Amino acid sequence: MKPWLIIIILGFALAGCATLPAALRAPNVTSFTVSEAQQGQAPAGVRVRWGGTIAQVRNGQAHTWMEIVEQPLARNGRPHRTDQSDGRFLARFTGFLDPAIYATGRKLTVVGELEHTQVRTIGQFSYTFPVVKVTSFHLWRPLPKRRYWPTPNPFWYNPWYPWGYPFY
Amino acid sequence: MRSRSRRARSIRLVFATAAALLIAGCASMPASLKAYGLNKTLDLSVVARHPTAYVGRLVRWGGIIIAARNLAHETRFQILAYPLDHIGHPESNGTPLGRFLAETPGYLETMIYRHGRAVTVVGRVQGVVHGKIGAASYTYPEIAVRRIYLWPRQRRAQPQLGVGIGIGIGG
Repeated sequence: MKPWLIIIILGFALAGCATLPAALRAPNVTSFTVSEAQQGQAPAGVRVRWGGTIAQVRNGQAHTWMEIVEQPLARNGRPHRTDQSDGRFLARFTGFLDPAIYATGRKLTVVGELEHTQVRTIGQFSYTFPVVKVTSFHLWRPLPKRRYWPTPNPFWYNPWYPWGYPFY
Repeated sequence: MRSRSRRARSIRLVFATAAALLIAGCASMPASLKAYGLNKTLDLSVVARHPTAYVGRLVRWGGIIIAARNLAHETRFQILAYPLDHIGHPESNGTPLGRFLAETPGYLETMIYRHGRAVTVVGRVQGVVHGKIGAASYTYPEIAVRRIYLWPRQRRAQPQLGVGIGIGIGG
C-alpha cells in the first residue's frame, strides 16, 4: 500500500477517537472512587475527576452546590448511560450556576479537590457525601434521540427531495 | 464397530451443542427472582380486600415505579403492578392490576430506581396501608422486599423504513 494512503486512513481512524475536553484535563488526577471517599479512604486535597447525573442543585450566596449521582466515565470523560453507580457526591462550585441550565437529569463531569465528607439527608435517609471543590467542569449536551428515518418520509411529499419540483 | 460408536458420539455431541445453544438463546428469569415457597396465584386485589388473611405469604410482583422515596432505614416504592411474563418481567402493555407498596431495606438510589422504570420484587405480604391518591382513598397492599430486580431500559427505537412513490405536478 502506498504510504500516503496509509496516512489518510490513519487520519480518518484517529479522528474517530474522542478525547477529553480541555476543561477536564488536569495533572495528578487520582483514581479514588466515590465509595472510597465515602468511607474516608481518600485523603482530603487529592484531585479527582468524577461525573454523573445531576440530582439536585442548590444556590448559595457565593457557591452553587450540586448532588451528582456518580456514573463511570467513558474515555472522553462523559458519564455512561448506565444503571451502575458508586453513589452520590456533592460538588461545590464558586459562584452562580443557573439551575435551569444545570437541571436535574443533565450529565456533568467535574475535576476538583476532595474535601471532608458531609452528612445530608436524601428524603429521610442520612447519606454521607464526599465533597469535591470543583476547579473545572463540563456540562454534557443531551444525546440526540436515535432516529432511523425522519417521519414523515420526505420522499412521500416531494419525490425530488431535497430539492423542489423540478429541481428548484 | 469402534468407528461407528465414535461417529454416534460425535453426532450426539453436535446435537447436544445445538440444543445448548438453542436454550441459551431463550431469555430466562433472573436468578435473584427465583424463590421457593412462592405463592404464585395470590393476587394484589385479593390482598387489598383481605388485609390480614395473607400476611407473611411470599409473593413475586412487578410493575412500573410510580414513586420512590428514601426513608431513614429503607426505600419505599409505590408500584403500579402488571401481570408478569414467564421470565418475571411486568407486561406493561397488559392490564394494570393496581398499586402496591414495596419496602426495601437500606438505601437505593432513587435517581436510578425512578419513576417509569420496571421492577420485579420478591417479598412477604405485610398487610395493607390506607392512603390517598388525590382526594380518593386507596388501599395499598404492602410488601417487605427481599429481592428487587431493576429491568434494563427498553430499547424502543426500531428501524422504520418507508417506501414512497410520489408524483409532482408544478407550474
